[in-house]
Amino acid sequence: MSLSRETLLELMAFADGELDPAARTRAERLLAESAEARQIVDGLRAHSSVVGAWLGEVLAPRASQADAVADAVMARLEGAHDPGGVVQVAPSGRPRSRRRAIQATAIAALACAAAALVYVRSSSPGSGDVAMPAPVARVPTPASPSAVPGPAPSATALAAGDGVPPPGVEVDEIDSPSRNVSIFEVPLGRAAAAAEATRASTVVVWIDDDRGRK
Amino acid sequence: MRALLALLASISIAIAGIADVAWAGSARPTTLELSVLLATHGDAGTSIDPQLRELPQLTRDEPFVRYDVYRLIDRRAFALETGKPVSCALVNGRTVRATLQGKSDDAGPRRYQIAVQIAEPGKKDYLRTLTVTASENQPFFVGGQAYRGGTLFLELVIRT
Repeated sequence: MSLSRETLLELMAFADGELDPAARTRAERLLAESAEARQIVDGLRAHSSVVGAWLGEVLAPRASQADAVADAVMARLEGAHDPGGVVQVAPSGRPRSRRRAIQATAIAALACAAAALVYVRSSSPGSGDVAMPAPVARVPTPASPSAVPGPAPSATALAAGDGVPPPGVEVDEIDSPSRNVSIFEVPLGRAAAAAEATRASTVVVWIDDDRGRK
Repeated sequence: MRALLALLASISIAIAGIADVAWAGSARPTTLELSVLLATHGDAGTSIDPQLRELPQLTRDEPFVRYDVYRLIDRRAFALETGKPVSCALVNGRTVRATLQGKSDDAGPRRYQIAVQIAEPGKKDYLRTLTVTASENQPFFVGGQAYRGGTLFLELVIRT
């Protein structure tokens, strides 16, 4: 392909009928001279006719409304600069391609803002997960001279089963110096568990108190 | 062309809105609910505070079965942030301190790891460290503190 990017863009605008008279004359001259340019414009028009037909069916009502709103807004803006305060509802002298560029820029800015919002929200502090420490064995290891008996018999029976650990409470570490510590694993909501086929359990950490607090 | 651009912009804004709602839903605060139960022996048979919904089933097992009167004497909720401890004074003069250490990002129910300390200023720690991993709404208990002829049970539950 020998045509520059700028030329291609101009040919695309020409195919869409969006060029001002000077640029259109330039494009027509190129089309007369270049078979490649003609081929590109023919291809663009073929595609745009298919897409255009679909858009015409689906979006024509919305497009007309959007055009009306956009024209009214632009007319207001231009009227604000008019010393006489005359509002121009008819097409202004400003080239339509320029107006479209402004609208496209505004819409692109909105889209970028939406994307930025999604990105910022997804990466904001507090929304992510905190790395979980590595799992620790279910039976605690005393970090002190505390006596830590194993789970009560009911707990053992509960834990033994199909090998799938119940979604219960796990004691990862206990440190209670010079006190007797016992751990009881208690079925949580037995009736409910049977009904819902869950095997949840809870844990009671019992630490002997060396003072009778009255 | 203009209508198409407007449509694309609308879709982008809609996606952002949906993501915003989803984010807001997933960012519910994590709280720790701490309930202080006083368990005693009564002459009039079993009596359980109706606010302790799970307890009637639990009292069939050790160590709950040792007592027959259960009364809720305090219940509080604390907003939890990872690594930031929350403290609460207990009726016996001790202070319980809890710290959310992390939460799992695995599929399935989210699991929380929480560390608990119970101490009294100037005295030997009652519980220097207890580290537990639990799902939300799954209570765990710390019992054994003597108080007014009975025992305190601390019930801790992660809520979101």
